[in-house]
Amino acid sequence: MDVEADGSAGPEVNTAVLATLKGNTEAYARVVERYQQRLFALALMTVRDRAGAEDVAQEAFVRAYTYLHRYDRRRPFYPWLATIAVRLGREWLRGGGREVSLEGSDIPVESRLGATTDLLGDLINDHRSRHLWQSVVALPRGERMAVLFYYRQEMRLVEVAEVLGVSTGTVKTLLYRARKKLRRAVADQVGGNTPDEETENEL
Amino acid sequence: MNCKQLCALLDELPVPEWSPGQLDRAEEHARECPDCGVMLRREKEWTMQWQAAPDPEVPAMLVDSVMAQVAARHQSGAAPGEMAASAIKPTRAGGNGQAWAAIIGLAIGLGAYLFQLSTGQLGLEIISSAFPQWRGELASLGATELVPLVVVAGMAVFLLGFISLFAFDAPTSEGPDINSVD
Repeated sequence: MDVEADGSAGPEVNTAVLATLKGNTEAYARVVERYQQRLFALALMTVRDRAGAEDVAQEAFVRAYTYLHRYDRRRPFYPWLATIAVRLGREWLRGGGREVSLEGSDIPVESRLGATTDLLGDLINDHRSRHLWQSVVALPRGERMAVLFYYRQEMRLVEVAEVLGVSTGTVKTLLYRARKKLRRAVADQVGGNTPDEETENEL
Repeated sequence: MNCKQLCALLDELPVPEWSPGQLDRAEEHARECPDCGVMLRREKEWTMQWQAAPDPEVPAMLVDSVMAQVAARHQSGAAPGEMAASAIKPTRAGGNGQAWAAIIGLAIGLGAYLFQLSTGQLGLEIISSAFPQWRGELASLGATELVPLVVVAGMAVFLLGFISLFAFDAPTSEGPDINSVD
């Protein structure tokens, strides 16, 4: 975890940010190294294109450096950085019109996930993990982002809401829809109905 | 807790958000109900698997690429805060206010015109009674002369607002503000 109990960025990040603001650009490398994995995963889940994700992640770090003086060091650093990346990801999608390809597809329909399968196949070796990522990457964008932020990136509901620019109620709804689809995806992998579907049928 | 309540809880909140009491009651029910037991177990398993799954591999040159750009910006002689000022892009912040001013101006103008069409001299009398100090001036103007003035003023406000939307963009930073994501 890079977040202190009071919600601020950890001391290491704060020190690096302060040093960067004083002109020590090398200190910023520590910030990039610390968050590159999370931010790249976020960019990848946003744009679903490897080269695009690289561009978005890179630009997000550079923008964060440019506007570092605006970062409130009493608050966690990652949600602030993620906000930039989400915004850039949206711009990238608007520019390329790539969002339509997989949006809203059911999970998992392998034939519709060809591009995603290839994309994650290169980046994740473990088969089981790849299937989990594939299940999530096929969700609509809002649900995908909410699941990623909440379950993977250890952000609280309120932080997810801030980054996505929605209410916490909306985040709960997004997570609810996502979980429902993901349960079905897991059941499809195992075979048969999910227990909750069976229960729902009985009720 | 019964099956329906457990399903509702699973739908409503992710398991990590459950209170200790909710978790205890859910587990107590799951011990008695095999279907719910499987459902709860799978939900927890999926959460743990997803949390433990490795992240996609990061491009090898990401840090170097970022730092090369950062160094280039630094060499251009600006610290982060100073750079932001030069990197500002003009946006249309404030445009909404101008647009509303224009619409309100037009509405007042057109409203006065329509009011006059429907009430004739009555409109002028109402204004006179509201502003008795202007009674003399209003009486000398007459309704037919006053209303076009209001309409023209409204149109002028509308045009100014419209032009300013495109000609005088307020330069505001596009920098990130966590509280205002588009």
